[in-house]
Amino acid sequence: MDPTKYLLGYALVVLLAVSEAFPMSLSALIGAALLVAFGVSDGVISFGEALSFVDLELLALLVGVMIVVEVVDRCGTFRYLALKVVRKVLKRPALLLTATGLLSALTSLLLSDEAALLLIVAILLSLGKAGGFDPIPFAVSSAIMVNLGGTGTLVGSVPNMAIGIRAGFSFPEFASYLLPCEFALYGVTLALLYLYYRRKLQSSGGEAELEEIEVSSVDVAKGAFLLSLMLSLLIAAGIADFPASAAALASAMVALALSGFDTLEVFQRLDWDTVFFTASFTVIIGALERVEALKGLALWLQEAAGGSLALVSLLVLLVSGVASLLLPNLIVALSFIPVIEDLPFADKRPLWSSLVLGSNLGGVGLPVSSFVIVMTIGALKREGYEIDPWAVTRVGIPMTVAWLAFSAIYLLIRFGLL
Amino acid sequence: MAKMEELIEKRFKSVEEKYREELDLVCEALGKPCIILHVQLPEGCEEYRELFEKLPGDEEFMAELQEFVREALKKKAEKQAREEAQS
Repeated sequence: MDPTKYLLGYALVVLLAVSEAFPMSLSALIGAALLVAFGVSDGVISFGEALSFVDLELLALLVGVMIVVEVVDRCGTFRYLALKVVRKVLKRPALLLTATGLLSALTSLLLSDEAALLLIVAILLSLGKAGGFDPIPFAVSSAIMVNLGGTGTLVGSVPNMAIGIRAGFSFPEFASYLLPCEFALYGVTLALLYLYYRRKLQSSGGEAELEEIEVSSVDVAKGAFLLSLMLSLLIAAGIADFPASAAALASAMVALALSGFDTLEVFQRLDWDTVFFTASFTVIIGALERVEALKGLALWLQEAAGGSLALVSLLVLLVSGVASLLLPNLIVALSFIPVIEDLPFADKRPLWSSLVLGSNLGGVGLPVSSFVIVMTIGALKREGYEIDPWAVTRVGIPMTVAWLAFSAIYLLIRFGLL
Repeated sequence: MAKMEELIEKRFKSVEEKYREELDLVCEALGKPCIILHVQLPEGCEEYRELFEKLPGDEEFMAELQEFVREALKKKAEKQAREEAQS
């Protein structure tokens, strides 16, 4: 079977998604319809089989986590914690950079990147005058740390969920491979950001002390409880060898029942574009797998690395990292999954970990590829701050290179590949 | 460069409402309730679009606006008190 037309269909979807001609979900639906039509007409796929390519476990995990995150976000738990911390260090710029950076990363580790960034940028822009500082270095640093934040856990980003499920990693197992790297990268990144921005980190004194924070302590506690519950259930599911998706859905049910929020309102605010994109794109990848269209890339990786697991792992890290600079990281992760499955290594943990690191860490180099960077620049412009989009790239590209280099060393040591 | 700015503008619009909501929630949590107003570029001012878009970050303008709001609130409160006294 000549896979050329299937690959052209895939390329069309990527082009439509990147050019934003349509919402990502519609681009993927068009591509899925096209590839299934090819498959049915060539007699290699039936419509029923095409539907079975949709990864229901991934969708259940994704929707379950999205519901919990939406409820916790509404409870204001992270808003309260972030405001408490930022107020304490408001007039000490170096500490403020560290605190907002860590808050950004830790918030995005548990909430979505979008929710984490909007929260931190809104706080920085609200308190900029009170703290007497220029919010630009802090906001850009936060965007970079948010991008780093979702790397270390199974539920930290959608690519992580997709990779983790196909790799068969439980929540604790995933964290044991990747969380140490993420925490080490926090230190490296904050040090580099401090060195880059140190001359701009000055406070001009600012206004008088701020008033007390006025938020409902009941809601804050509720949010903290629901988040702890989800994490506990995910860990327990990992230990009991139970699907993480079941833990996420159970947490979502409890969150909806206990929060008292309007369930339909919560549903309306979920990111359905990502849900439908993920479902449709898994059909596209299933069709490509059926006609063995991605085998060539697996073979190339294997030959280029001379069959060495260490070199293939580093190549996966590099290629997925560079690809994520230009393409949405979910496309990169979903496209690479079957490639890794085709590689003939008994222990694929280093390869999956390389893909997680590459697809997560590549996304901050260019404004076009990084939604967090776009949100940061957009918010700063809305508040009247002048910022050159390429100024972010001047930080983002070297940072991506540093991250990938550090990750390469980490992978070699963590999996004993030296 | 202009294309990049256009792209950023287009993509930011999709989350602008959420950003405004978050800003509102942060202000409220800080004991500084705020209102969000959508002010359109006044007719006949099309040539000042660039200046108009910079107004939210213009400290002098924001101070004048704050003063305007203070005066407007005082007038409204006085009017309300007069009406209550009359009724």
